[in-house]
Amino acid sequence: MLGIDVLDRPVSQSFFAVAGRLLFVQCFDRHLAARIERLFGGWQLTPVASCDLNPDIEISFSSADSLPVIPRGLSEFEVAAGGRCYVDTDELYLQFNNSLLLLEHKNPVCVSVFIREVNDVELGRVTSFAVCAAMRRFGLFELHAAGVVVPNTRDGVLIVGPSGSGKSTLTLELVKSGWGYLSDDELLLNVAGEEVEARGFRSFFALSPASGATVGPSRFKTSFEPASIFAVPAVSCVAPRSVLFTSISGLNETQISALDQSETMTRLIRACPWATYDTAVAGPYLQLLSRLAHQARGFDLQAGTDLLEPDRASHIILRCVSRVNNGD
Amino acid sequence: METEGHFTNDYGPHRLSVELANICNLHCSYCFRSEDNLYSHHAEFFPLTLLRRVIDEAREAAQITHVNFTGGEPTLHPQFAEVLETVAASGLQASFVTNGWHFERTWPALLANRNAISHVAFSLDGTDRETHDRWRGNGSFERLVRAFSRCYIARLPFAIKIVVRRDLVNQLEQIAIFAARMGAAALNFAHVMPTSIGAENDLALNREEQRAVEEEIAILARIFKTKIGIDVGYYNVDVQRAPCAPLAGTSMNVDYRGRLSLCCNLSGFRGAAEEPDVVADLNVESFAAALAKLRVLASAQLQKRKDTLTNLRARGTTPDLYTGSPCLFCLQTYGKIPWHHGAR
Repeated sequence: MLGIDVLDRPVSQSFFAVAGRLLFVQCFDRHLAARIERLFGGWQLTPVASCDLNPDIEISFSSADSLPVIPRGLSEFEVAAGGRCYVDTDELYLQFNNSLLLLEHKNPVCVSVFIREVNDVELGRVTSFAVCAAMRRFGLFELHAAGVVVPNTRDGVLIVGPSGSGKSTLTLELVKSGWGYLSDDELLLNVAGEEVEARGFRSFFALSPASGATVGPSRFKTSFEPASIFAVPAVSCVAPRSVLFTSISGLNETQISALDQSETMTRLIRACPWATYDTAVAGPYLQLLSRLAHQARGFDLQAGTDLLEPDRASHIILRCVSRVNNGD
Repeated sequence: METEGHFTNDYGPHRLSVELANICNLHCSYCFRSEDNLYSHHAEFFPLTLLRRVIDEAREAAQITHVNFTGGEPTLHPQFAEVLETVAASGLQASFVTNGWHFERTWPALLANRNAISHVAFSLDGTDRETHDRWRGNGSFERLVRAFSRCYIARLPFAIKIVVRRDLVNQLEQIAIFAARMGAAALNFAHVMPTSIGAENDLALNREEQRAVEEEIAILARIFKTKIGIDVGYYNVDVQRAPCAPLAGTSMNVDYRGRLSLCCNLSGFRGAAEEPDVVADLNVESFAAALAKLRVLASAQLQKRKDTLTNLRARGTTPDLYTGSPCLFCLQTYGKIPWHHGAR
């Protein structure tokens, strides 16, 4: 165990359910507790008031003047956003400037997050990593993507792309046209029977003012709950039938081209770095992605400004995914 | 996939070629691995327990001293570090062919098993970002060059492997300079393995073009300190000796399913109609028993090639490319290129 002083009484304790798994979250710092609570409130986790069951995952947040020392001799490599990962067969450490995550392969899976003074961005990042790393141990794999549902169907469409590629804007345009939605940014994937299912993870929508999208009053341009604005209900879970890999072309007209299964798989692997970084679960993670590439048709979408015209996005995407459903 | 010296009789150490994973994170149109394997909904990884047993048995039965890992992309294997540890523990040498995308992540495992790694072979598609990334996707070139630097600084020998597509014919010298500047220990050119009529027409060279390329590579090999060569597959109608390591019996392939087959170039070939090169399932059969079958297969193929070339010579006919190239000869006679009809 790490040699640091940790308060023995948690300030807050919460249970959440997600995809049949029980998550227990506790925080040992009063100031941190409120921030952590806000973060968890932004994810599509179902709060459980009281629980007699044993949790599958325990996540603990502690503040610390100095971060614990990572044992020597672990394999280490850089990860995105300036983090560094250290792994061996039993443990995974993930270090950022002012925070450290330790995941131990126990029953339940234990994740300890140590926080020095961090800004909200880093806290959000390390907390998201903590939840996702734990959920991977139970076959729930994250995908940085938006998810929408074709109107009057159960057909899911995933919109994959890096930050700033227009996922939220496109999702918003589709939701405005009556499409169901899972999330505008983060999804969880799992295999159910023979199919890959996608469910929303982040519940709120976040739009940068630069996106050019307008949804009512200007205060909604940064972050909002879609259910508070749109009549379309959130969908809990769908089977993806199409995957759109988006980028912003800067042109007027949107271009869409179909990808073959291999290119779809390639792009999915690139979109999911932890499918290879997290070696303990890399096998099933990659298997899920290859199953998804088999199940859903991939498209390259170079978004033009025409997508911002009323109902234009819905028309374009519907025409594209309808070809899939018709077997073209 | 394997590295063998051109213009020499050296087929390298007795070795096993093992496909660690069937999947790949890149999508190169000229790759000769079956797309069904690379991107099917069954991602498969070579089991460690089988690897340990196969290595032990192959060392005993075939006196192997080396294991070369291929794929798919071998570094996608979730237990890649343990794979290297397994080879190190057996006292053998390891190498692997990679696209370099995940090299940073695998670097600690390489350092931990440094003494057991003979070299790393990187696949290159061009000497600048634009050319390379056009085939392998944005960011690929940068990662590859970073991987070269890692190896060079740590004195880990690395080879650069590049397929001579039609658009690269006039850049051979530039490629050699690039490899030398990067500090590569070896540069291995290879001819395109045709997977379709389109690939043959658009990417592959005809016999005359291949001959010119081979002559240029021979010149570069004499000039540069970097070891420069061309992988087997070049036109070679010598019937006195085996044209490649698999037929010479120094190299054996185990595919990601654990099946022993003749050659990593033939294994899981894209568009193949048949798999006569697969001789045994090592999951249920001992390596020694499988090796006996492989030797019969290799001997028969060697004889078939010899008979074909001898008959053509007796008739005063110059063998075409698909007969003179040992790789193309095997592809054709083993039913790997059913689309191919007639001479070129």
